[in-house]
Amino acid sequence: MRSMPAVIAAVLLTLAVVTPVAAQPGVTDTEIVIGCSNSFSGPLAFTGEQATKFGVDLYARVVNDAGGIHGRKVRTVYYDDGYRPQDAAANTKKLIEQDGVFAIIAPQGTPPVMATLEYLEQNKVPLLFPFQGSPVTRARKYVFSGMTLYDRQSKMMIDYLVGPRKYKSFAVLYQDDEYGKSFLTSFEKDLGRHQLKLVAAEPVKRGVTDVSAQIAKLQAVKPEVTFLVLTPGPGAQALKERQKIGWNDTIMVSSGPLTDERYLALAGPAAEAVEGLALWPDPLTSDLPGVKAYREHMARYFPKNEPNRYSLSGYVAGMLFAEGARRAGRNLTRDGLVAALESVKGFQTGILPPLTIGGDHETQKQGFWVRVEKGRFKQLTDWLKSE
Amino acid sequence: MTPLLELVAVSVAYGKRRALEDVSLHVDAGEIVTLLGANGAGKSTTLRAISGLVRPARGRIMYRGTDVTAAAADAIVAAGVGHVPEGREIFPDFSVHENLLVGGHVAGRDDVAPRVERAYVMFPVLGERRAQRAGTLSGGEQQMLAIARALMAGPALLLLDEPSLGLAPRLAHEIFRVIRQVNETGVTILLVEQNARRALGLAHRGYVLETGRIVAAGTAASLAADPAIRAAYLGLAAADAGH
Amino acid sequence: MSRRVAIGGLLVLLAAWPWIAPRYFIYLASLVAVNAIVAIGLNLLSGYTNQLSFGHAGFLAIGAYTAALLAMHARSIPVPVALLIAGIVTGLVGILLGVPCLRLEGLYLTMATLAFGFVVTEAILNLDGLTHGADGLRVPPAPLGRWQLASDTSRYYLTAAVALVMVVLAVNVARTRTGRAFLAIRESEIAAQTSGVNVALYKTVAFAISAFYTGVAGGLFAFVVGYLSPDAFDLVLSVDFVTMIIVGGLGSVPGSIVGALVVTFLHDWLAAFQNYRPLIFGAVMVLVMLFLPGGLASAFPRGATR
Repeated sequence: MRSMPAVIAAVLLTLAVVTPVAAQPGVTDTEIVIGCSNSFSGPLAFTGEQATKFGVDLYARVVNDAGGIHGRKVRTVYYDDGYRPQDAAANTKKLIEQDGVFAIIAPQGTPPVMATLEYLEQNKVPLLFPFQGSPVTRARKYVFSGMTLYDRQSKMMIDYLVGPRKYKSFAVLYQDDEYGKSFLTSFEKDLGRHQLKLVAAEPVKRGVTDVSAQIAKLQAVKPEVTFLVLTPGPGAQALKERQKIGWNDTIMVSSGPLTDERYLALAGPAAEAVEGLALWPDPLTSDLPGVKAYREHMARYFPKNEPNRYSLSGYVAGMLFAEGARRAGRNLTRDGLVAALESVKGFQTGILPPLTIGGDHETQKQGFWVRVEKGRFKQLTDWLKSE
Repeated sequence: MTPLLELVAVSVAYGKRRALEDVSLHVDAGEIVTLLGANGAGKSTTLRAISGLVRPARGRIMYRGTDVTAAAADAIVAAGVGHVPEGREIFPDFSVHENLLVGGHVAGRDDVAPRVERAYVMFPVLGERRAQRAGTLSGGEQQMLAIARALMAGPALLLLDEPSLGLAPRLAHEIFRVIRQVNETGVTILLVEQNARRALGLAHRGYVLETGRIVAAGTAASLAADPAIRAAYLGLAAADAGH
Repeated sequence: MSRRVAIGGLLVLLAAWPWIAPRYFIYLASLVAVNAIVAIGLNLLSGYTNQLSFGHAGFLAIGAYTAALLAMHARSIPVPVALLIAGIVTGLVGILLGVPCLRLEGLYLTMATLAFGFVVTEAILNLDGLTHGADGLRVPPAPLGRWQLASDTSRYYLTAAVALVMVVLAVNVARTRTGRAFLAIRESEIAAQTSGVNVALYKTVAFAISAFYTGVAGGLFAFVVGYLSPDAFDLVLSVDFVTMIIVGGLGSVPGSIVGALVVTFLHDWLAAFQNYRPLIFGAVMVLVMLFLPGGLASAFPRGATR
């Protein structure tokens, strides 16, 4: 026993290996280090891994093989948080304080991102393109949103459905959390502009998969359009339930995050004729030049990995970072990167419409309309505008 | 005079198996009473029922004229019934001293220290090994510790379950000397013992249990003289009775 | 004598830590302190009275949300009082869980505590008016009179001081009548009963004390991490706590601390292994249990670790 305190002391000291911190963290003559904490285990491990190791890293490989950014190679560091906010907070602190990364890129999920927001803002570290659409990230000096924010998605959906499609009665089945409630509030506001109201709104608690009661209630009010603001599991369940009870006189419309192949795979034939707002072009079939290049790069660097929306979004994040860092010049600083990204105007990704970022720090503001035909999303409109 | 302990038609079942059937017995203050019987006859179960470790299905257990049938084990200890369970069940990782302190759990704050001292006087070997881990004591020493620990609560009645089990004859003899000594300090004893000859030599009275029922009772001398008991428990043929 | 020197040295190290350690390690040390309090609390239950709980993340959550809500809505309450309230609230819940658990042993007790953990996260999700449900809660800095504990260093001193108090209390509990009764139950339930120990009462008391410890740790967790959401308190966390006491040594206070230290650092270090993290973590734990079945505390002379 008498040696126990000494052992504790020794272990603490051994573990506290001092890491030298560069003048501008994460930037040396030869490399730029960026990274994030993400889900590599837990419920969103697939999404997390695709966005980072097959998305951001894919573009980093492309850039590095082309000589890097002003001669510097991009290196990435990732830590697993398993979607636990406390681990996301710890990992992010470690990235900044131990690894000295230059910027955080493409973390995932509202709770883990929220757990790091204040800290990153206080330490003036850029948080780039988190994979979440809650407006909580808006109006922060060092944060640039990635996914089109939920209120913008709502605006495009309502304006399109009330405008060209001339629908008048709307109901919503929503996830009872920040994601669902952001949409709910925005739907109400956007319908208000057209002197319309939601005829019904039914919440789904997280983790619940049986939505039959909610579907029955929604059917009873006979809306022309029913929005699904859900995760893939309950989303597919809602479609199957609708098919089971033969509720055909409504159009099911999925929110941006739900408009995704995984949810179609879960719903099977019940997903036929479902409509929705898509935020990214089809990674497998789109013939946009940027998506083609993405598929070629994937085949070259990670031939075993199937293209999908998550790696595509990470690839776009990597591309935007590279563009910002290139514009910031050889003397790369965090504030320089923020200024450079704010100056991005009409940037051609070949995947999304020309991007203009500006002072609002919102990189994506668009989406387009799709309908499910024979198990795939078919594009119905050109890019819709949210401004 | 009310007996110190009285069992009235007590039955105990473990699941469907009947362990005790209509057992009635009494123990008067100051006595040493022994329970004889083969393995599985219900001797240990009787002690466990008295100390509240198993609940009788029927019948009453009276201690000092009060019904304690439904009392909790710790309340029975606090009321003055000590139990030295079979196999001794000391706390092997505790020191001898700590074992005694746990034994004094229900004792008043001021009683603990003098009782520990008394235990070391009664059992000098424990005093010599007070800091030693109880699990490292010999079998005889562990048995003494178990008795000393039970005495820490200041019992009026001590239930002893097979105290000489597994001990060499010399040590068993020593334990029986200790039991007599404890009894002489005014503690009533109810003794379960496989060595019937020794038990009857020590006890004033005895009961004989067979498959959960009492089949014989009487003074130690009369039981020792009973040919059937001699044959079954004392290892003597009836023909040798007059020997 | 040398033991005193070692403890003195450790105290000096604890006090000097924020000046000698890199910033991130100040934060990690706070997490170690939080986890050590939980491990000690869990050990009081599992190591002392043989009731293994896989629901301590639930207790941590109750303490964390209690302290966070106090810090948000009752800022005049200084943080030590808030932590005490968090501990008491959690302790009461511990009694509510402990009483039905008295009848359970082994696998059934495991299942009941496991279910408790899930019930707590469900309750957090459903009481969203109070807890903000799945979206989580930003915890304001801990108030202490006119100060706010907003820096890693101030939070470290708070957790280290509270942990120290909890360690001293736990070491002393083992020497009291109550502590001896706990250990007696672990050694032999029959012998404890025949010694007059009210086993049911002490098992419930153990649940209450264990929950109290974990509730206080939860309060500290809220301030150290600064953000709460039900995702934080999953089964993985409960299993981490059990791992801490098994790696450190069942029934040992210093073992609990070492277990918390090792698991916290290992957990942090393995984050770099991304997808392989759970695999490596599990393998390391199995190896430790195979080669040191008594935990790290057993690698030291016995008797001293109790």
